[in-house]
Amino acid sequence: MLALEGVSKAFDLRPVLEEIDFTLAPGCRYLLSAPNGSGKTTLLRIMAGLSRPTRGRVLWNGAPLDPRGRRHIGVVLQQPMVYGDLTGEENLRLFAGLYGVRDARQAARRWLERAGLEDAGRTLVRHYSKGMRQRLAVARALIHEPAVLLLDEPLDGLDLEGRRSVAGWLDETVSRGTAVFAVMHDTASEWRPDVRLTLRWGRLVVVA
Amino acid sequence: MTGWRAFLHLLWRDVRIEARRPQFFAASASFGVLLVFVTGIALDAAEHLPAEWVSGVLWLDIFYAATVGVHRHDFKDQEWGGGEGVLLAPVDRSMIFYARWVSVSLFIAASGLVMAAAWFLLLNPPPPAQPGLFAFALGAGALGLGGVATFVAALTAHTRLRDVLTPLLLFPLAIPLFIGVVRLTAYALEPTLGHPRVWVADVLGYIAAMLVVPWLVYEWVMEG
Amino acid sequence: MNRWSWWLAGVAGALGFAFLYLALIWSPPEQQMGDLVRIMYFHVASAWTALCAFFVTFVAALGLLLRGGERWDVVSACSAEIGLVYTTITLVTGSLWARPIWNTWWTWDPRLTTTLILWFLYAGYLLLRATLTGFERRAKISAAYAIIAFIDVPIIHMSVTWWRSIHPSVVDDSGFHMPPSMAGTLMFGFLSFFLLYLLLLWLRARGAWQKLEILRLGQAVRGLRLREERGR
Repeated sequence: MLALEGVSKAFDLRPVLEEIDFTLAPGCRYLLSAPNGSGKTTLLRIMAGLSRPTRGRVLWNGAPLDPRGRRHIGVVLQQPMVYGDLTGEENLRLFAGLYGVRDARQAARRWLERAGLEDAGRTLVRHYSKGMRQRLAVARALIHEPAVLLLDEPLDGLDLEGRRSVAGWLDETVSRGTAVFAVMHDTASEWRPDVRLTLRWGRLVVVA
Repeated sequence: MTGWRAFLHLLWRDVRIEARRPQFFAASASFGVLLVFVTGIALDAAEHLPAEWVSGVLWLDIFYAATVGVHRHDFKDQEWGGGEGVLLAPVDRSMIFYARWVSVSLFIAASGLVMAAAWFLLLNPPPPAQPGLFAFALGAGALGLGGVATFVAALTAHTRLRDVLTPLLLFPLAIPLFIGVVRLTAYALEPTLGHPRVWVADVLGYIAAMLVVPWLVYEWVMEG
Repeated sequence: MNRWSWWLAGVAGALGFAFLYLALIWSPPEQQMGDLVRIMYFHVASAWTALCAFFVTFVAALGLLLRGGERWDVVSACSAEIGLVYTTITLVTGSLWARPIWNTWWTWDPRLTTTLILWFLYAGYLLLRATLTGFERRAKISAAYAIIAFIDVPIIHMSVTWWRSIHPSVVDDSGFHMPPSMAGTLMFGFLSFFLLYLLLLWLRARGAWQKLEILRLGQAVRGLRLREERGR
């Protein structure tokens, strides 16, 4: 499982995260909410392996996170992390291929359908609405069936129906044993976490 | 997941995007042809330039035109965050560099061919006495330039002055390659100029260095 | 400046004056060039020192990537700045030397050409640093560039040498054989230039490091204040 060991991070010598030790449990829902600028996104980027901690390590099953460990992590950040000049289907096929999903084409079709984008599969992502992009981003993060799902405001920009369906996907992945770690400031939402966390002075604190 | 398959997926991505909207090719080919034309005016429409000069002009144009297009795909990476999505994938990050290198080299070769055609038409160089060597110079030049341009583009992607800084860093780093391909092209046009072997070795050595060194430092460049 | 750097400054100053005496008065004029040979001491000594400085930049960049820590970045940047000054001195003295000897301010001599490219490489390094935002990112990206640039230097020198030797060359730089008095003066010059480099590096890096510390303290104070405000 994904674990943080004494992780600290500084930007321009300003400490943002300090000495964070944390281990995710499989099939558990985590919700992190904290004020803006408290380092939520930074923490998520470090867990995803996009950013290197100033001190400390990110571990996958006890070993430092490497490309093979990244295979088990799915990530949704503020940006949809897709290409505007590729179609929805091409984007999913590209990422399915990069994650080594068997029969990438089939998987891409299946996930387009689940995201309710089957009619938009051949449209360039550039022409998608914000809600469509967000659903595509979640599909991109789930296509390789990760063991850990890291999310930054996954319900942002979605209408009520969209929020419900994305929350439904999250619960479904949790029932398969995936640990879901979500950053949201809106806590009164469709999605109920098992553990609530916050960041206080750069340290990760369990609230409830 | 083998690195080789990831490489092919990433290459397919760049080629697909460029085929859909050929921004790199359009920008650098049109700018390059314009440069050839302006050089012709600057040289007072000279009828016969010496082989050394005319090959220098060709490569100066190709190098400069390449710096115009080289940020197009970084821009696509950043626009919707697709580049970060790729960084998340369980792929050794040097593969990302190699795929971009090959795709950029392909686009440079394509626009270089257009520039070479304009160059033959407008500047009237002698027809290559050694067409094979001429083709080698074009191909190896595109490959070497693609490598150093991809690396420099990655360095300057987050700077405030990237359009200015890219040629400023690229030209000094690329001098060995530049001299090599200019000499090889001159030799292909005019075989009396001699000593092609040294320059073949020089260009291939430069490409080999581009294979090894970015592999060592690229990971750090890509991380925030 | 602490006592240590005063001592170093004193020694560097004394060596500098001794070098001036050796280079300008004590050493004999050369047979063909006469007194002009004296420029060579300054030219070559600063070229060597510049290369040493860029080597230090390279090693510090490696240190940053392998070991981490802001110290490496500070040393890397400061050494490059000083190296660029020495490279400028090399180019100016080279030009002054070339004018009377070869009747031109600039010749495409391989070493001179390489030196100019070196100047552009490290001017680019400082420009890159100046335009990168974010302390940590700047350190990493400029270290990557510093490594590539330094590895490129011998390749550049080789290609430029081939290029000029294959052309009809105006200058035959097979060199002149130096009598011991000249070689000694040159080595002495290098030593005093290098010592001056060390002194400058020490002062500059210390200044930059203190600036960093002030920044770090400022950030810490800001953090504490915030904590207090929110704690109430």
